[in-house]
Amino acid sequence: MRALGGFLGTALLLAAPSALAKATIVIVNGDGPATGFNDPTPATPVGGNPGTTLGAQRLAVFQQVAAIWGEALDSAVPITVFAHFEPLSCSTNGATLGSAGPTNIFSSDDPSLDGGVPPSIFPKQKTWYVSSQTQRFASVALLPGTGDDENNYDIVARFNSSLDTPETADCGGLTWYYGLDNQHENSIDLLTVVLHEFGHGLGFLSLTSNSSGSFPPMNEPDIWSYYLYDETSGMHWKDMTASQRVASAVSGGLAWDGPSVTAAVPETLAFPPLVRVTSSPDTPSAVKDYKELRVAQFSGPIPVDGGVSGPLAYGSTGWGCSVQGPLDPLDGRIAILDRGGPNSTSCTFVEKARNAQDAGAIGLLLANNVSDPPITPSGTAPDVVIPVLLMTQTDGDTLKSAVAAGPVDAALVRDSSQGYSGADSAHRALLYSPTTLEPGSSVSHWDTTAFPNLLMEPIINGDLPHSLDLTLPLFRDIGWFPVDLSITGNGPSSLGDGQEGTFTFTVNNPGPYVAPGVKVTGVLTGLTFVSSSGDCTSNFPCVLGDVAAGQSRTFTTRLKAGSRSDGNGSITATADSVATTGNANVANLAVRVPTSSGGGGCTAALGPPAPWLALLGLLALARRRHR
Amino acid sequence: MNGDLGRIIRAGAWVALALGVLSACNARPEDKASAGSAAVVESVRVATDRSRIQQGAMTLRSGERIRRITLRNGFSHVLVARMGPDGKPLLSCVDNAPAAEAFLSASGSGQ
Repeated sequence: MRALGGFLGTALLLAAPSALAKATIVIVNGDGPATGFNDPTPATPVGGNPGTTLGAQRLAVFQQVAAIWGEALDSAVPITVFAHFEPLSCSTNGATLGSAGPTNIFSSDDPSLDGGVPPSIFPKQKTWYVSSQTQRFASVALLPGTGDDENNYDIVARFNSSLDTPETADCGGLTWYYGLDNQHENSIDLLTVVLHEFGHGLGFLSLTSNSSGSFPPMNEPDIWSYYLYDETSGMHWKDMTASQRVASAVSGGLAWDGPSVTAAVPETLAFPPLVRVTSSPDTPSAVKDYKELRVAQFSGPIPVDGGVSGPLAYGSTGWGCSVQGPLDPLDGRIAILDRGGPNSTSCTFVEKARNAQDAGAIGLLLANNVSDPPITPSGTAPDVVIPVLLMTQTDGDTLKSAVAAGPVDAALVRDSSQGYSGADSAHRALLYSPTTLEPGSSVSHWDTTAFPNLLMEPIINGDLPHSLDLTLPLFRDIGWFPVDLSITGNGPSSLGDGQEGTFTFTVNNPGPYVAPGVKVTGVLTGLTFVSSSGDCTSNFPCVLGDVAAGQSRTFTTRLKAGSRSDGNGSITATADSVATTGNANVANLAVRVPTSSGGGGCTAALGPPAPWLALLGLLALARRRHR
Repeated sequence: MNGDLGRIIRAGAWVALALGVLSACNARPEDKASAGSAAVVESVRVATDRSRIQQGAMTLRSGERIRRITLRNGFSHVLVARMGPDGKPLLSCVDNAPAAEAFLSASGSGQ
């Protein structure tokens, strides 16, 4: 790190300005005089950014990001970001835009070393969390948040100022947009990328090495490892070996198994599009579903299930560019056009879509002209109302050949039977785990099949709104919003041989956050489930539903003692959640039942406790879709 | 004979040198691009280097001991960008140099 010396003594401290902020994110300006955030170059206010200098505009964007995250999170301890805006690498064909990440991670110490000092601040013991989250648990600052050492801060961030100086640095035509209104057109929206990078800094990242599969030092998992779910093995990363994790990271089948994200998937993601060829008499092999597609940013709606259906048409014009003249009539047909054209810079995706629509097409398939994975056709065109999708070169060739051979009927549809785009059949959101080396980092991003596009995908799309979509539910899963459920229970203290007893359990959520989708599971040893009533009417596991802050759910369960047993016992009921803290979520009920030699009596009721152990583990998994 | 051989060798050396210079002057654009990308890729490698880990411990006021790992540069992700064929920027977030290289070497082919 370059020496900042005494300058930091006068460094500007900027707190997120929102009065409604539930967490305060402090941007610590790490730049020297007249550089970076202090650049005095005059600038015209743009897109709601009131700054009149380059430095002020950069700072205003960071402040806005701090406000967005501050509004979404909750912490009594300010989160500090040591930020620089400085010259970084540029070249004619690419540039480093910036970077960010947490500088410190924390874990509970091994209680056995000190004889234990319960209760720990951590929801999960011997598990690594980023510093901002750890401080949220501790309710005290663990890092000084001052000084010239980057490690004194929760997050360090560097962004590239060279994009603003094309006269001295050639960054291949890349430029920043400093407006706050997302109208970035062909520039890079700084707000979106800082929002993304702060997400990593606040805990949206795996700390496990993808190349070695090893956990951080001491071979203890990070909090992500509890929710990284391998679709093939059905295991979570914390339970896998290092080599298994390495394989999982490139398996193409890695999902997030946190209940909050899973609950949010239906309201966040859409059903995947597909091209369903229903008839092709002259090329029967073409009749199938084509799924490797990208929906154009400007596409008209693609109906669920029924879809837009009609015969495919592949005209002689191929590209569909205006310079080639109008397309032949396409009334009621789904047009296929090739990507590219005689002059690709003057023939846009939007132009092709307009030409097809004007010719009467009811849908448009763009066939890729390179073997690369499909890209998302970009552009804005409110007048385009037909579905527009881009398919692979291979699939395009197949369909074009089929059309050349004879009539082909197809439908463009969102297929609800396939689940949601970017999620598995159980609504687990998929994480990026390509089987071959691809641009973008694996594991610590959502999969690129997610639709609509998500903030934390590896490829940051130009159509992203300034929202946190599935990121916030993931933060709930990893414990940013602890739900401290408690459970109490009562019932008969003894049961005779074969006798039934009624046990009542109450799960309480003291708040301050709602605990949605509470699920109760139980393990009975020596007792037989008979029935349940109240807020749970099924055998274990049962769903209690959302439990609002300050509310509770109660259910009664009838259990039957076995015809023979080993003596007295107890029921241990545990209500847990993805972010439960403390020990209030455990209730113990003593139940005396007959001993095996009791011959149907209740002698054990008078005997010493605990020879007949009935263990009932109740696991309440809290999921919150909304705070 | 030996003099002729010497002239031939000297002439060959000059031809080789000239060809080398010409070759350098006419380096293919993609070679220059690769060279330019190398600096970006190297910067990603440095920013995502996780080898400089420091371990420590802290004691909270409650008495609980907690462990701390500090990593200079942080556990960073790096955003890289290049201009797409449609004149719009393409962005990718990477945590290792090969992923950055894959992104910068990718190309599109019009709209």
